[in-house]
Amino acid sequence: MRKTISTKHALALMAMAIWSCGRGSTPGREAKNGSAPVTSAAASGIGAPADGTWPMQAGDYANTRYSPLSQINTSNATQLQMAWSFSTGYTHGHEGAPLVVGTTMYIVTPFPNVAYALDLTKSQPTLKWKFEPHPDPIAIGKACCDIVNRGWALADGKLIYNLLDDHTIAVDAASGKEVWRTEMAKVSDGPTMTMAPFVVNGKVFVGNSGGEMGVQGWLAALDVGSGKELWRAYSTGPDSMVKIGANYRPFYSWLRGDNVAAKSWPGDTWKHGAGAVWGWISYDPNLNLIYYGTSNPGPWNQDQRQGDNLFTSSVLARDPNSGDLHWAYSFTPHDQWDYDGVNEDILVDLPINGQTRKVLVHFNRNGFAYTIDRATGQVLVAQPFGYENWASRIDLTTGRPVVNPSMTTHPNEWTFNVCPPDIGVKDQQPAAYSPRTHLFYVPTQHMCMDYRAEPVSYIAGTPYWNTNVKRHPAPGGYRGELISWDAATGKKVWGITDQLPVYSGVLATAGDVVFYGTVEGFFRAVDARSGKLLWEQKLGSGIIGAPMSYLDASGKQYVAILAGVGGAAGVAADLPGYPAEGGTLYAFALPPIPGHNPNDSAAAAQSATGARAHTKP
Amino acid sequence: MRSTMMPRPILMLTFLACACNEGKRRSAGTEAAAELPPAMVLAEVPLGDIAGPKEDILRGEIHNPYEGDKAAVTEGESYFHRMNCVACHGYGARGGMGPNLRDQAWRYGGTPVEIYKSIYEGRPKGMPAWGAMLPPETIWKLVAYINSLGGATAPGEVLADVEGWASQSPKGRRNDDH
Repeated sequence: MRKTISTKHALALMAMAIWSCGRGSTPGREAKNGSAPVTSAAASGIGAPADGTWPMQAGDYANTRYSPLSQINTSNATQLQMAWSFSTGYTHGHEGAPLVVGTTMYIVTPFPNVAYALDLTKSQPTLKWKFEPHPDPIAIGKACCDIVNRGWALADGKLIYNLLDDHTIAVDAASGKEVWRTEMAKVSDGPTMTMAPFVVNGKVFVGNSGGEMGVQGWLAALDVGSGKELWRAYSTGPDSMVKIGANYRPFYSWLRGDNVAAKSWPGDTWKHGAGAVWGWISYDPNLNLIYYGTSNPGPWNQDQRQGDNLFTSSVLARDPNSGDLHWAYSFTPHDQWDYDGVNEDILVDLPINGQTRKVLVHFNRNGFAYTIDRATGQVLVAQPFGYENWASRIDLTTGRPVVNPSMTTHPNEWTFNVCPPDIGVKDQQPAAYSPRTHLFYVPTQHMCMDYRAEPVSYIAGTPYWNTNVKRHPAPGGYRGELISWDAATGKKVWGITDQLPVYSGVLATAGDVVFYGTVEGFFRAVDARSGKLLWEQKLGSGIIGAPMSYLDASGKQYVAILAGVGGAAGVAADLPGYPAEGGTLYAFALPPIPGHNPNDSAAAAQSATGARAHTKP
Repeated sequence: MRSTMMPRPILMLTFLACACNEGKRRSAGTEAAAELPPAMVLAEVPLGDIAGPKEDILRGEIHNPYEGDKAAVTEGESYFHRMNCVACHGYGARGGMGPNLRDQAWRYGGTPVEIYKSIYEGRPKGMPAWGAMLPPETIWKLVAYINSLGGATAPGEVLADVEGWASQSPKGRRNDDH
């Protein structure tokens, strides 16, 4: 292990350090045959650890979802076969990526948020433990967009995740016993928790959902050991609540001023103005900043909240120790179409106009892909990465969108053909980045909407929403596309269209293979450079989770995906091809696969299925 | 089950009685208010076939005082929007975060008085208890609106569509693709 994790692998070491802290011995495995080649990417903190673990949702702090493993590559991916599977026993949308540390895989289901640990030392992995937290069912009726869980974290020997009923919970990773449970909000008032906790230096960061429930959005830091809350920073309100102090230096002037996150709202409407924190968090250890986005403002009827509505539909950069805000930027000031800003912020260094810049790349619901200087918050590149018509461009001198006046919405009036719709050109389903191709791989929607918001009163525990939305395909007739994107120039390279929205996460690997899934249920391997479809396998349900890759104890590479349709992909529930629900974890590998006996009839059937799959495209 | 449920209707009676008086004062002059069924009778109506006893006790005997009143249906629809019911149950009450109210599947019973009780008492998967916030007339008008959508069942009619109610669950933001 020491050999595979060289001193250059700062990130891998950090991940392992977090994991082993307080545990006496370091889990993990001995060096394996066929271990992954060291890539130059690992040195810059990009990608999952080279030892074949996958210790956090995106593989790394930078949120690249890049695996340095390359046994599966463009020349052999056509031979992939299903190696093993595991039913979660639950329906509803299964989001998130399985985590692997040591010889154990961890997954968590949608409500009722059951956790499973699977023993990977067996050729056909078996259940190590199951943990049932029994969250309050009242949460079911407070969640806007299915009862999903977006991911879980491993730190300090604990599996840490959020329950839909507003508790953050830590479970002993070895025994499956509850260690602590902290109530973060009152679910009866409307908020829920669905986001993936993110751990930096002994602190776990969690935020609330409920952009349609009149919440006031927040991010909180808890002590990993005890679950005690250390600080909480709101997205809206006076400087003291937003944690704005001397360190706050936003790039653009309209983001400055005393109590700007309260004064950009009429009266005290910021109290129910949302800016919920239900997406992803990333971390730059050198700048020591965490980055995350905030939801749409509430209510959807813009007439009730004149002003920029800061900091909703925004990205915020905070000091992880104090919570102090360093900079912020609103992608969609005074959003009136539900263009949340919660999508992942991918931290990479890119050459821009001949100069290497430390940037944050963000594919927003509003249809623009932003390349932002992550030290200052300056927007360097902002170009549409899909079909949109609400803004003609982003003005790089002011950082503000130039809004198409005909797309302005008014209470009790229909605004027709706004593109994208509320779920955006891309929702929370995370993109991937490959340091080998320098491209981003982005799952997208290709849709428009008719929109009619009603004036609405805040009633605790009920939606603060009342908006009728009719969604339809954008021109071209298809509803989804996986694209590859050059963030230095703001240009699309290639795309693969689909009849239904593409709502799964993406994985890029050092084998130059990109993995993703479709709502219909096809799990795919694509050539990262050409976009050529190499292999696909229809799974039992649709895919809205995120693929990851790991090495087993013998050093063999697997790609795993948690399938189970639902979530916001439910907007397609009435369309042809939308499959039945049901959560199953699938792992794929190249033959020969341990535990598969070629003389065995089951294995023969498996091989026949594989043969059919790779003649398809 | 019965013993654990006993205290709740008693507690509820107090609220209902208060709410009734409150409602009468607010709607002084409307004849319908005078015809509201006695609180005691309402409280004893059991839950639907899934959640409560199977016997058809009393439910056939309680009618919506606004039955057949078109103005009440219109008013009920207005409350359906103003009280934010629409955001959970969907435009046209076709479902969303909360169940579809137009189909024949009723987890807690689909007769007018059972729907009244679900609104009044709230239900465990997120339905707030509106009895503390709305007078009985308003709740009956909401029932009249829901009834007008065609899914509710007639008093005395017993439905046990287990498959139907099992599938009544949040489906994400429903699609109106066309």
